[in-house]
Amino acid sequence: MSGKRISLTLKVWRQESAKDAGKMATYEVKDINDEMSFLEMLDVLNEQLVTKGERPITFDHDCREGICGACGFVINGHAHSKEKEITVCQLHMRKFQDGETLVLEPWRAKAFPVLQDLMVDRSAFDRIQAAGGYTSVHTGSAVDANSILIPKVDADAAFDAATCIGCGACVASCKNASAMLFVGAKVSQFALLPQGQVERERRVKAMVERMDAEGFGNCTNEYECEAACPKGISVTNIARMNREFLKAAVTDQG
Amino acid sequence: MSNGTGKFLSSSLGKKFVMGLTGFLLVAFMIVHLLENLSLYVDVDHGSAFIAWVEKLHLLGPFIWVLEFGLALLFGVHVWMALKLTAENRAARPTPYVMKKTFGESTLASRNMFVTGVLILGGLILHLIHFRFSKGLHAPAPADLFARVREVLANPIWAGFYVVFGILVGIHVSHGFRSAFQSFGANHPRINCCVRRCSVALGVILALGFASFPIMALISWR
Ligand code: HEM
Ligand code: FES
Repeated sequence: MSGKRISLTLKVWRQESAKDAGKMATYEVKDINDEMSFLEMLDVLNEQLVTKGERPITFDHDCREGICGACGFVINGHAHSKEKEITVCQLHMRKFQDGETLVLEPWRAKAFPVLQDLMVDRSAFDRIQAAGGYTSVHTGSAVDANSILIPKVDADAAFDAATCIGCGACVASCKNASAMLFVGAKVSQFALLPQGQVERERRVKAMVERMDAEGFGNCTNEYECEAACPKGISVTNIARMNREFLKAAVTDQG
Repeated sequence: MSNGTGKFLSSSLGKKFVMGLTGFLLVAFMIVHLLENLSLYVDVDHGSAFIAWVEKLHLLGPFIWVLEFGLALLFGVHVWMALKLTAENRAARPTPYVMKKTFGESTLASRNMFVTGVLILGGLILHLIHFRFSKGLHAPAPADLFARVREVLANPIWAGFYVVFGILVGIHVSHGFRSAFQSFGANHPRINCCVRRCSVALGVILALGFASFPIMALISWR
């Protein structure tokens, strides 16, 4: 590997377990190749920590190409860093200057308790999904292709909403730790399509109810979530959820 | 109240909706109030147009109590929802960030809605004591009200207070108005730009409008 070499000071949130109070710890990382990804830089640091007999820094990750939604923490006050529309696994070290100090913190929300260091429990999202993020489908023989016609604009908008990878950056960046961009996207992706109509009213009510029960905050329409979203999901999805919810409150029988 | 309505009103989205609706109606009230006050400029020394406006209001008779009750209810519900939503929002992030930056559309106004709101509420109570309840439970006669306005605003301390009050309302509304559109689900590229500009314009108009009366008072009534 070619590339410039940089050294950084990392201030990292260290927390043993959900019960532990946790605190910041400072690490010097030297001689980092700036073609590395951010997570590779942490891998290097972790190897050094293991060699010294210390516990490595825990962080969530899986695909490392921005599609699974596993990774994510806050770098210098920005969820997934200040770069637009990327996850932290897509972040490169060349975005940083030699000698910079970086503060790394986990997503902070009551509904996302810290499990260890930079890793949080996002099962609240799974429970919201389970409450209504599904459709009823016919399980007989395969239907004829193109038998259900969908306007292109609706298909596009539904697809955009469906690009949500559930990373939680919206919650992390929101001043109120609100999950409304996530839920708005999940509601929209089905509300826009014919396949989503069966549960339409029930879905939005159930998902919002679950969201509230999980202890997320309320949107104050400052759109920090949209700015932080690695998939650039628009707050128009929150507006759609608001409309769906209002409509469901008036029309739903159940 | 049916179970459905109760559920709607206790949900996050329902509360936001009520917040927006009461906020909208309060904005409408503030616009009418500003127009009423602007009539002061017609006759700065004797307030004839202002007095005439208030006399018209008094023609409503007992119906004015209904309006006053409705207005109090609007404020009450708006503040009650504000307290609930803000408490929930604070509870949703028990551990603060060591370092947190914003890069969306967060503004000074949007981040401080609760603070400006509470200050407005405090100011409102003083404002009611100054004018509405200056003669006890019954509203003062129109001419007495004008005399009272002159008396209060001629005091530089109170004039300063009302300048700040006007600015606080303007700041609150500059985020509140556009925020309410989103809470109602009214978000579309065709209107967003207009809503955003109108919200700021409305905030500036309310702030400048209300702040102008004490400034006029300091110039003309001392
Ligand atoms: C002249 C009086 C007032 C006017 C015209 C006004 C107007 C508004 C409007 C239009 C909104 C937007 C609603 C939304 O976000 O959907 C709002 C929100 C809000 N108001 Fe007021 N309000 C007034 C007084 C107050 C008072 C007395 C308080 C509190 C004690 C308060 C606290 C809040 C809070 C916390 C929000 C929510 C902010 C948000 O969701 O971003 N307001 N107000
Ligand atoms: S590790 Fe899969 S999105 Fe980052």
